[in-house]
Amino acid sequence: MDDDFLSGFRQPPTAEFAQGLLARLVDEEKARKKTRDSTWKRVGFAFAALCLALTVLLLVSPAARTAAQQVINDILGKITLPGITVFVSSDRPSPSEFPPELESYEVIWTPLSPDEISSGSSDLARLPAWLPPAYALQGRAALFYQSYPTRPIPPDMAVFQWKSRAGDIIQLMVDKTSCSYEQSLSDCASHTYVAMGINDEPQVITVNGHSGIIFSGMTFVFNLSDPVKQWNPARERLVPQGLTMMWRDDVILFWITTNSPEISRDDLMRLAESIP
Amino acid sequence: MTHQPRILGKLITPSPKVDWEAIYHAELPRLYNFFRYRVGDDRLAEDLTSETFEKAWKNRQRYRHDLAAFSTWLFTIARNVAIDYFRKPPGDIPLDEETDVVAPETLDILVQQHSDYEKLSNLLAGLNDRDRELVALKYGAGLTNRAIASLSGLSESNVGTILYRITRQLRSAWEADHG
Repeated sequence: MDDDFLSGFRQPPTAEFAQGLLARLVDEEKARKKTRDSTWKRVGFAFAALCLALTVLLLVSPAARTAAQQVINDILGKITLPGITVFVSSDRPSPSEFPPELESYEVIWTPLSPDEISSGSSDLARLPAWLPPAYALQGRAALFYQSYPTRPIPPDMAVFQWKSRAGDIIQLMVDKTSCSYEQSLSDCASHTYVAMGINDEPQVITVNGHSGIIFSGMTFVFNLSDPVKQWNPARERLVPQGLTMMWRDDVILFWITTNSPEISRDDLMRLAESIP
Repeated sequence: MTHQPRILGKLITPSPKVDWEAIYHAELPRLYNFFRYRVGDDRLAEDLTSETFEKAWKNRQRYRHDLAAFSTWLFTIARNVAIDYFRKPPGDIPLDEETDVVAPETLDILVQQHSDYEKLSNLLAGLNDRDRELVALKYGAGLTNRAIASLSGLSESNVGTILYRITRQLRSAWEADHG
């Protein structure tokens, strides 16, 4: 069918309109690009400033580091601190899930008084300046020799105990056994593994600028009347109540545990921070 | 090893630069005439063409690898712009139109052309919306039946049948009017 009468009315747009519209489109595009670039620049600066502020905060504030670590831990279900790894699950892992190197072993120690430890090995006598009221330092402490280079060797671990009139105890372990003598933590493969359930309420803390962990339950008790003990720190959970706290400074692992339901986390923090 | 530089070379080759200005000049007459046939008013056709291009231009980079899709997208926007225009209350539709000054010798031709265009516009105004849009896409924009089918959602043969019917109807009205 002849349809020329329909298509015959096409006509080109006027040059003025065509050029004017193109110029407007180009101008609008330039304006949009400028706005977009400046928005991205502002977002970029803001992001960089935020990263910088966060980095500075993490560098200068142990509390911020602790909080950041806590967030990561909540996500990963594992708490990794310098020299300490804590496995956290809804159920406490069964012993078969522990690495073989965490098998129980015998620990032999030398019974000594705290004064004797202080005079013989001052770097292990790290006694707190503050203790909960009515706790008295016991006369018998323990000194350990677990590294065997050429003798004579210095001792590398000590345990101190405080007792209340009600019979509750606090034990403090000061441990540099994981590293050979004269090695710093970064030079050796020192690492401590702890496994716990989420019900143990693990909480990342900062003790005098060092990251650590506090959780419910007493994890070890040395019977200081007997100089031999079968010991596996990862498996032991002797008393469900009470508290345990551990942290490392550059060379020493500190491990405080108590079976007392009267001692709060704040008490334990105060005690820990009073250790010189 | 000899292949590696070639592969790397391919990976970093930038995509060919699209001449958007050329595409603009190619699409503008089609779009403008679509609106002329759709609304029957040159000045209004310019406004609606501008509106369509402004909407499409912002996101045109999305179509740099498929320029055919850009054309289809342009007409999709144009159809919506036309729908929006017809939804507006009559008071919003501009009525004023500038009259260009023309040379006396071309005046007769222009008057005749304008008169014919007005007649066609009146005939098109008698069509329903869908039929008028099909005519605008076919005879204004010069799209193929296949392109119209993909825009309108009708089958290609259906587009052909409808256009045949409309053309026959318009032709008979046109001839009656020209006596």
